[in-house]
Amino acid sequence: MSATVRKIQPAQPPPVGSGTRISWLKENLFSSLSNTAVTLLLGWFTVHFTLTVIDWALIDAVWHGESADACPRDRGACWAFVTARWQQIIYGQYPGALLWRVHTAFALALVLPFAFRLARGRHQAGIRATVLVILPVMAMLLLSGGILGLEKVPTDQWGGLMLTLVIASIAIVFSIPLGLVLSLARQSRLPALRLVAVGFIEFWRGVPLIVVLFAFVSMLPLFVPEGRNIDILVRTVIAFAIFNSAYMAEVFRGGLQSVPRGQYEAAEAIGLDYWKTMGLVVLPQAIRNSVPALMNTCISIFKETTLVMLIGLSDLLGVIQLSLEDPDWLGPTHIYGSAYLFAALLFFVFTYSMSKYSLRLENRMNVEH
Amino acid sequence: MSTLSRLWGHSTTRSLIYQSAIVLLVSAAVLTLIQTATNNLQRLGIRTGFEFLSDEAGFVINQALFPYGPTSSYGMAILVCLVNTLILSLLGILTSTTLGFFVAIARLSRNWLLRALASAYVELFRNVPLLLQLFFWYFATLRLLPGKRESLSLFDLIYLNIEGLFVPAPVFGQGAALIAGSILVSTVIAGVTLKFARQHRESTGKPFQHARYGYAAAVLLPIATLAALDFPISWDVPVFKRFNFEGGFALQPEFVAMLLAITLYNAAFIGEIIRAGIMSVHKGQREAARSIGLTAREVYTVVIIPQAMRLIVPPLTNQYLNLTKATALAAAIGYPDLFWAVGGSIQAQTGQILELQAITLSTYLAISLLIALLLNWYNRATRLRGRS
Amino acid sequence: MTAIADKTPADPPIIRFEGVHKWFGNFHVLRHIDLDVVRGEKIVICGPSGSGKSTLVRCINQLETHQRGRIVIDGTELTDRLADIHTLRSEIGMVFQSYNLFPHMTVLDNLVVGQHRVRQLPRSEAESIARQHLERVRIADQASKYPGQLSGGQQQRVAIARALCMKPKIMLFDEVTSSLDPEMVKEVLDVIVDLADEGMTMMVVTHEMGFAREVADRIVFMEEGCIVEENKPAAFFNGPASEGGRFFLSQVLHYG
Repeated sequence: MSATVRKIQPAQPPPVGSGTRISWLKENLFSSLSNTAVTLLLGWFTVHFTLTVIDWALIDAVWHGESADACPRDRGACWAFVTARWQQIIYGQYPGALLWRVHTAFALALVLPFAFRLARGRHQAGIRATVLVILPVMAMLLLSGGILGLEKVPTDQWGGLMLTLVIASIAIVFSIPLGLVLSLARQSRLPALRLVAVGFIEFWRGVPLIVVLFAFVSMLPLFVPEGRNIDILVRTVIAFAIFNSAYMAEVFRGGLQSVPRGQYEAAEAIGLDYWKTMGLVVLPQAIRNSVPALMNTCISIFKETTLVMLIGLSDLLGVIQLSLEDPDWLGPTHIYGSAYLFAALLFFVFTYSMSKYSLRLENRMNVEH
Repeated sequence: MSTLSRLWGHSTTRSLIYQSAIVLLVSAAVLTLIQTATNNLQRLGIRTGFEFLSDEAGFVINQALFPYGPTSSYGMAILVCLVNTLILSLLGILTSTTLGFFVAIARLSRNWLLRALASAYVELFRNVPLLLQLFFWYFATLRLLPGKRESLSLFDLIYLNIEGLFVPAPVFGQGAALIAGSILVSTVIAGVTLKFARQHRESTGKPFQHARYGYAAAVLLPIATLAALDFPISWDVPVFKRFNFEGGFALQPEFVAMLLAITLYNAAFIGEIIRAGIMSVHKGQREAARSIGLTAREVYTVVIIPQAMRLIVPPLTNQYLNLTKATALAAAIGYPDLFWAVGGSIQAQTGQILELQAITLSTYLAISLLIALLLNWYNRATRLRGRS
Repeated sequence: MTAIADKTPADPPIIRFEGVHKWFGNFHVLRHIDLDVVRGEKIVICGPSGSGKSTLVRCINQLETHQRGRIVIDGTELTDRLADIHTLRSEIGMVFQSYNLFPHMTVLDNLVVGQHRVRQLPRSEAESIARQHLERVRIADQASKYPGQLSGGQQQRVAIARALCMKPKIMLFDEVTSSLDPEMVKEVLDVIVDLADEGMTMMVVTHEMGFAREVADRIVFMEEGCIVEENKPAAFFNGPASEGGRFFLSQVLHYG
């Protein structure tokens, strides 16, 4: 047999009809009789539904008004409720003249991640630590006032979206380090420490948050020496932080377990002790691996803030519910629908952005590797 | 080297010292808390102890499986509400798993439109808080239902209106026990047929052709028994007379709203869990199964699903646990579950917060522990054996 | 067209590729493949990564579908809607780079499941056939273990046995030793050499040149989706006729 040699042929474009677009349509929507039937049915339903929603939410909606009379039953969505109650929905009962403090506080909070990432140079760790501590403290002081000539705004006047964000942020910020410490304790070599940690974690994971909130709010006075009264918001935030630290601990446990045994051994071989191993080698990897599940827990915390309305705080949902029971708006059921859908939209925007941000973080960290 | 520093250097002694310190610290903290609490309780004149459980409650519970009236005790109230919690949880698990299963299938379907719609459902219902969804169904949707007179009805048997869902209730006449017996027998028949069919296939390689007769017999037996006894089970159909429905069984709108919210919310998560489990099975498994000639259905049942189950069951049980804990929210709309009883009504009347909270927390803990144990058992029974 | 010596001209090819093209989206992965394989022939396909070797082999049992041209396997043409693709697949055995044993079944069950479900053999008969093949690949004592308990080389031999239990007419090997530790490569290659000596038709994609030289009846060298050279092994390894082949060989054969 003699050798057969051929030249390399140039690449050709895929044939028309098996090109990406048409073949995609065929494959995904119309590949068989039943598939086509499903496509047509769902397609009709989706179009019909979308048109109805657009009609209800945009074309036929009532955008302005001062009371339930502005929203007759035969019109569309009652956005008038939202526009009329806008200030309470966003700020609760925070004094109107002092809203600039709320805006500044949240601007400071938004600046934090940027400042964190921009910190460079020799004092990077120092700058980061300072920023991490100072900015939030400043934000809290701005919100509550009482010093530096700022008028005090008691926490029972905080409400609406602002309160939701405050509770969620503080809960997240405190539960993460607490959770990290717990997870380290859980895998400690000391049995007593491990037992205490496991017991603590499993306890909080076994009970509903609403029960915990209720217990904290109603029972804390009993465990505190007479006379010291702790603000309800503070009690709530403590409950959130402790409760969620157990979940964060579980997330970190997964992250720690994902660091291969070889890393510990390599660090030992270089001569690093326990704390240096953890700080320089293990924890950076463990935390990186925990980020997706961490973000998930953060999103859960954000959603959980709605529970505070059941213990008397007026978060976003609480304000809406109170306003719906205001005599001006009380009565028609369809107004409830509009209000809840607006709240749902707000929540959706926040949580969806958080999960997209989490995906981006994940991708960025994978590339860095 | 002094004795003290030698002790400190010795690592076992050091760890013992650390641990004793921890134990002492924790005990001290607990004791201080107990002390402060006792002082405060005495100061406020609140009773302690669990005797209150046998006191008369004096309030009404709307939805109760056992007979409950104003003269029943607090203990009874707690029990009734606990049963309500369990019923809601079990039903919720059932409905959300069923719906979640279909959502997963939709997400894995060939049809892009079906996939897209299922994804939209999952994203929407996962990202909106459960409490908000509950309020939406209870205040904004179920309130739109017509009054009793204009109830929506299904075949004149089931009625839906603003005051609840009215369904027919079974009435067991004479011989009902025999019906139960026949159902038991037919289950046995079905089980035996299944086992025999499997053995037949193993030993001859061909599927058992007569299996269908066995299954048919299993289905027909209870029906035949019913007919033979002249249908002793009748249905008490709700009938609207003058102002109210008589007969039948009434499900409160609170229950319906909560079940609806829980189902839709959890089905989104469960659908994702099932889908992720199926997709995590290594692509090569599918290819290997196809390359030995297994049909598409066999690829799924023999190779993919058994492996996916291992990946699905742990997060699924976790979700069930979350669902059970979430039923506490039903109290927000007045459904008498465990939290409603303990957190609201009983506490208001007796003020014995500590005991009540202890009861609530330990009950939920017990349920969680039970589910965790079941999961552990399942994991151990199905673990893939690796290099030992 | 290819010229095949040492075979009776009356033998129809058991595998025939006629002007086969395949695209992954816009990427033209197989470009005008013409190939005939006669029953009992052993073809080794080699070439740089991305040249389409695996894709070509995977088109044979329709794990990948082609968009242009014809593929005919033992008289049956592979089309889009082949009704009995399962029967066809059961007659083609494939061994993968990542073994792909079913981890939730014992080694024995891995070999039995295909015979039991597809050929509808009673379990006892399937088991005895399975044990014979386990003997053949020298791993009979591991029958009741689970894949996770075996080494890579052992798993791959089980994978070969699993394919052989279906009594295939054609065996496809897709880089079956690339994932193995070096000391386990020989035990797997030995099994394949034995199989070749028994006359099995096979298509082997591999980087193991020494093995290729021993086993192959014909070397098919691919580059950028095209078959660039077909040659006898001795001729190919002494000096490939194509420039691409020369370059490839110089890259692969280094340090002895």
